[in-house]
Amino acid sequence: MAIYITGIGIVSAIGIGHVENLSSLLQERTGLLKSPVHGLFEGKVKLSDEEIIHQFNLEGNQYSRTTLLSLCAITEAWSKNSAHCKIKSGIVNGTSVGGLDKMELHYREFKKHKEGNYLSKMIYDNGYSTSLISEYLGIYDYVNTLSTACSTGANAILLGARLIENKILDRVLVGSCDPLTEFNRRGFESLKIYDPAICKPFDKQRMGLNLGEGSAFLLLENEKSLNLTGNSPIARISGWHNAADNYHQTASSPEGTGSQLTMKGALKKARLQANEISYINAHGTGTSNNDLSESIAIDKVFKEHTPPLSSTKGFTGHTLAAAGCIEAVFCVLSIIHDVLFSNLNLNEPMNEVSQHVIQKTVYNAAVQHTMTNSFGFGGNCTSLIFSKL
Amino acid sequence: MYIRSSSCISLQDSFNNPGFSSRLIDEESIQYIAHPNYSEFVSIMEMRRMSESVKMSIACSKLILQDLNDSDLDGIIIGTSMGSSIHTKKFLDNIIDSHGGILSPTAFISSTHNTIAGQLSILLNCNGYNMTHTQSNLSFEYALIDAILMSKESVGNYLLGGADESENTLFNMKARFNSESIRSSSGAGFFVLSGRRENAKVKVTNTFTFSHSIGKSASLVDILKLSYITINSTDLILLADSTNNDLVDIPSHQIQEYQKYSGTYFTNSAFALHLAIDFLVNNPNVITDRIIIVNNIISTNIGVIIVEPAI
Repeated sequence: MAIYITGIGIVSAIGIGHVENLSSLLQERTGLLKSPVHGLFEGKVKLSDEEIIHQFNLEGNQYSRTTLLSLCAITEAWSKNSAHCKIKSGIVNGTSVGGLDKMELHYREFKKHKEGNYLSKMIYDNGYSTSLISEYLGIYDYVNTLSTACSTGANAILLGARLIENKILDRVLVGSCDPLTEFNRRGFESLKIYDPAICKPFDKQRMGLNLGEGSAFLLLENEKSLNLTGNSPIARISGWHNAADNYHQTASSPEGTGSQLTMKGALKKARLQANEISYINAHGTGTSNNDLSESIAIDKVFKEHTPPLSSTKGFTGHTLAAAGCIEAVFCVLSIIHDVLFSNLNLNEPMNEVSQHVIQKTVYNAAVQHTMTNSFGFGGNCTSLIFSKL
Repeated sequence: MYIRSSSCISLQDSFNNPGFSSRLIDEESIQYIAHPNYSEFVSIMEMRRMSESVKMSIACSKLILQDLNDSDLDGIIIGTSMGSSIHTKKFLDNIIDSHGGILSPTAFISSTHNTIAGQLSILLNCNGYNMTHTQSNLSFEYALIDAILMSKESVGNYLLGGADESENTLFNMKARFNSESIRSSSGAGFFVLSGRRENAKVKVTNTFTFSHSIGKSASLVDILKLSYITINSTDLILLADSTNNDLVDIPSHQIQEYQKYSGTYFTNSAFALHLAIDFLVNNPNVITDRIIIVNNIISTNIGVIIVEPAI
């Protein structure tokens, strides 16, 4: 069964909307900036909470930045669609932060003053944000949220595709979001994997990740929905697979067991051979462990057919739960425009990938099928394959 | 979908205690969760780094997977609404109290929502499908729906769990619902699901969610009708909150509120499922062909699980 992509929406450090994001990618313009507050590089979305609240006429209530960034991306993907009694429609969202961005501020205030009804200001669980979005769009048939750390976004897409394939839904918005938080910055610093300089995925001198924030959504439809909506498809999702690395809570196994399983599984699902993949958007966080483990896994799966690959986290930073969806949107842009995006900040490419890592934007690349990888804490691994129509 | 085995840790004495459903006590009379002796399932060293939800999940999982080889487990699917809230608070405390500097990563490492599912994959040596659902009070229901989908796609055994820990500083049920009468609680319910009957005594015959706009009221009978379910006189309805929805069309002797035994937390429908199984299998006083579990903690976000004997 063909599953079509008919809408994309994205906000990231390199742009508001997919047009601006594409432009930054093509021009190799990073969104990572050194913070004047803490001195580390991070990828901020250039929209304040107030601007988004104003844009969506949401004055008068409190929202987590997770809800706000998601609204920007999901409304771009949903575009002029509307609820339809014959089209079973749903939302699969993903986040690791949820309401924590505001929680950490309120809790800090509470600890300082030891008083105040801060609990009533706490914006609650991860699913709350998704409920608000479903209310805003009027979509109720299936409204769910996943949270699997850095593979969340990819899993939201995977679950959405399965819901369509199993005829539970005809049309589904799949996406994810994470805003920047002090919690995560201090967390990755405590693990000593936050590069004190700008991140350098797949470089021999890489010292860790830079965090970013953002949200991206895709609209998936089956043929029945397409006939009723009249939407024009822009690409297809043809393969997916999820597996557990089963090794360590925060480190990937040396051989990339989980990643090998998911890359092979996605190829099998898509009924493709390794040599048919035109481009891999790697997880490529810039940590010593991930980039080595992922390179080894790619080599084991693709061998002499390893395609051109890049990590785009040098543009956006590692957007955690949002990464899988942001990078999926980049894969779709790659297909539509036949371009391959470059891997920024490379000085000395790792030997394992030096032949394949893209160092400069490639135009007229005849992109047929793209793969994207996302690997998260807990050893959660997911690979997706997108294909030209 | 057949349930081969189930386990549960709760306010009731539910862990490894068949027939507990005939000895239920109102939560008002119970102060603490009836935790098992965790050292039977986890080493003391490992336990030190584990928060409540991870410990409960491991104990429950190990109890029901005794008769299964590692290679027979095909996936782990978890529903949790607040995830690792205890470790999240711990790391926040570290940040706020430290005034800068490099912190210990221990609490951060296990603060993600999928810590339970990830830890289980390592402990149970399972490379299969691994997912964590977190949709408020429907977290467990969506995990169950996912498990049923997985089973259709790939025959096998799936570990399904619902767990939440009670961390009342960052997130509090009383504050969430603006009600002092709510008993905030915690617990874990785990199940081995299979598409093959084998020795299973119960099966899930239907599960669905129903969400609608805030401000619209919903009669339970109408909600069930949308999924072509008519209530029979022999049905038992296990309901989270008997004050929350329009129940006028259902005889009151057929309704039992489960939240007064489990306390309130968003994944307490996992407790309800374990309770339903005990009613069907281990409780001769309960005579029913079908139990309809209705999770209506949030009245606009309803989850329904229907469980019957496996015959």
